[in-house]
Amino acid sequence: MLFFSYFKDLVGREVTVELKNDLAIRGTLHSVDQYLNIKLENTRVVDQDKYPHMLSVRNCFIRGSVVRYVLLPPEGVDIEILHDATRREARGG
Amino acid sequence: MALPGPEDIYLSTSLASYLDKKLLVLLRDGRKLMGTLRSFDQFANAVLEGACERVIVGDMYCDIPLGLYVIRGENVVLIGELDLQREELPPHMTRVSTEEIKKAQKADRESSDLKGTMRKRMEFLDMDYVYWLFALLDFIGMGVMNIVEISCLILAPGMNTPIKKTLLLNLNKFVRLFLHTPSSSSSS
Repeated sequence: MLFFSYFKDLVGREVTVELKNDLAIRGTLHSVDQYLNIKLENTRVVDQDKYPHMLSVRNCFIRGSVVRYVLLPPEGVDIEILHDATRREARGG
Repeated sequence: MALPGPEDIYLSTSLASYLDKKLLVLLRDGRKLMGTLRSFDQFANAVLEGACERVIVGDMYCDIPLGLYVIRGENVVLIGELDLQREELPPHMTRVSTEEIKKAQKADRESSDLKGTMRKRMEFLDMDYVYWLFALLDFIGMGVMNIVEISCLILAPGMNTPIKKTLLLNLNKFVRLFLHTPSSSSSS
């Protein structure tokens, strides 16, 4: 549940989600669930010319299983907290 | 885990907020389906009413009507809400008939298949040697290869006969393919 909690903290931030089919979408993180499905708002596709069908999509739901990377804003990562949480999780707490 | 109440649906990741809206569903095989979401579950299985497939080839597109579709969740990549206020596609794209788009799709598939087989055949070549030859040609400042250089390639040692045949038969395509994708084919 660590990454679920972690992504919940990132709600409202601007992220880029790169999918396994190489499509990269930038948008505001609206919500995330236990499967790490992601909902984005105000989306725009990074390589717009290559994906013309995505032009009129403003909000989208991305299935967690097709995500390759989530690129986060650098200020959205507090390494200290993440580090502690990881240790706590590893201990089973 | 408690189910979200109706007031939470716009805050949760559930697809409930997309119900009865016109959506674009991207599938794992690259297909793009459009339709109205009527039902869904936790696996992203979805029922689309009035579904149609949008086929895009280059600057042409076509919506092929399909009817009522039940999509198995594992095939779903993305579900996007279509903004009806915005233009759906860039203005330079033109709508064509189903027959035309199918023809264009077939031609497109055949040309990419050809590219694939060419690349596969080239794996037999000593890529380092060919690569250096091209680097050298580039260095000398030759944009386009002439027949002498191609003959050098064909007569080069360490190349097997089918490759030579391919070269002779498809000189033009081969050279163009090479000039565009030397690095990707050598790394594969």
